[in-house]
Amino acid sequence: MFELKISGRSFERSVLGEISFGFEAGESICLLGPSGCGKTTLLNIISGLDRGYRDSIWRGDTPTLGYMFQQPRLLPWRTVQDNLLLVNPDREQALHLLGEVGLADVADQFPTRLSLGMARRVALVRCLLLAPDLVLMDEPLVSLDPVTAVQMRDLIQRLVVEDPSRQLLYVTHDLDEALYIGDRLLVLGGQPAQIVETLDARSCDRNRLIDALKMTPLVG
Amino acid sequence: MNNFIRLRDQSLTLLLLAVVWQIAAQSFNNPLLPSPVEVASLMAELWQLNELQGNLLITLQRVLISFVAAMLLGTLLGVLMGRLRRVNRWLDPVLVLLLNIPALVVIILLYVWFGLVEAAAVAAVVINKIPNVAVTLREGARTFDPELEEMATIYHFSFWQKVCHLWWPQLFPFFMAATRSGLALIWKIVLVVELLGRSDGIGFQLHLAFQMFDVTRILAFSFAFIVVVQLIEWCLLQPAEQYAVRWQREAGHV
Repeated sequence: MFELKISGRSFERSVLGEISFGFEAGESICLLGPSGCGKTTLLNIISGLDRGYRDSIWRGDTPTLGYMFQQPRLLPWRTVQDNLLLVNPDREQALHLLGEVGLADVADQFPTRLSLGMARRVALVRCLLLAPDLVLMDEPLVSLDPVTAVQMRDLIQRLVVEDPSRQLLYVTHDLDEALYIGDRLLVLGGQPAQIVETLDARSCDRNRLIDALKMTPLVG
Repeated sequence: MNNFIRLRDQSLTLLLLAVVWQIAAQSFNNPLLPSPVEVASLMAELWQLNELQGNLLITLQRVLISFVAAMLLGTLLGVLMGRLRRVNRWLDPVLVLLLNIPALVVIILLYVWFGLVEAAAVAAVVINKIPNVAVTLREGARTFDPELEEMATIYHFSFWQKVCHLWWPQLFPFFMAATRSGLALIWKIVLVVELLGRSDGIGFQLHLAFQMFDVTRILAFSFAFIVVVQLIEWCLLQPAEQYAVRWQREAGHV
């Protein structure tokens, strides 16, 4: 449905080599790899935040993007509701989605009062308010306690993965998380980083995935 | 409760000062050191004669006009210098120069070049204040959060959304600091400007009183304006600040 291609040559510091993959309709792709291998750099290039990369990366259609950062990045001086309305002035939809993630009662609070888990859920709502074709997520479960992490994972599953109109690119270093969320797993590795393994989440078992990650030539 | 204790301590300090002053004035018994009671009664008298209000209003008007102009221009300059390294490189020497020119020199030069007119008076005050505002706001603009900047890009904030919801709240503490020191500095410069080249306002009245060595009158006019500035602080600045930082007070998890 959407095809992207990044060539290391167009990139100032070649952290990344040539990388290309595409999304089927409604597909969720998980990107795995050792920390520091360039996963976040890849997200920044796709989202257009990386100024060093200038070429167009999309072959064919360009999707509408929603990027959910690792940290919530809400404006601390605006209430939850105002944070959402800045992105999309449709109040009804914002409040509906807040209710979907179980936060209807904090609409008028300031984000400084929210726990990290709650703030991440607000950030998820904000991301969905852009009505994205492709959602980018950078380790959205990191530094959450186990119970909160499972809640968050289930919300992502329900609101993004199971929505056939949404494609997802999900960065993580957790195998179970990747197997739960993803339809397809890409393993990134090497220097400069490339896709060293592509696995179908349904047909691949855990051991094979561990082997694939071990095969990844680590940056020495 | 805390407010009450603070208010009580502050009033006690002021009361103590007044008592010391009263005792000193009584023991010297010299018209060059009038007692606080004498100053206060002259203030009341000037108020009844309608001399105080008119002059206060004129000076206050000059203070407000120069204040608004200096804050606007200084903020613009400071933010540009804080965000754009190139602009900072070019304008930094100018800023250092302006910071080090004595206020009096600017006032005299503008009066000499443009005559003893209102525009020259206000311009002199503004030029004296702009560099202070710019330096403070430049620091503010340098502390902008790059993560929120990226967020605003990804979430398609318009320019005005960035101004109102991203940049202004981050600048606000610095803007308030500049306002505080600004108001105090500006009204002092305005008095000098009035003394040197205007025929109304508190500064001009001080000029007259000085020629007659009328210390009671000098103090009466000065204290009247100090009260006005303090009222602005209590009734405008502090409530505005309290409102703007309410998100910080509510910190802590639900």
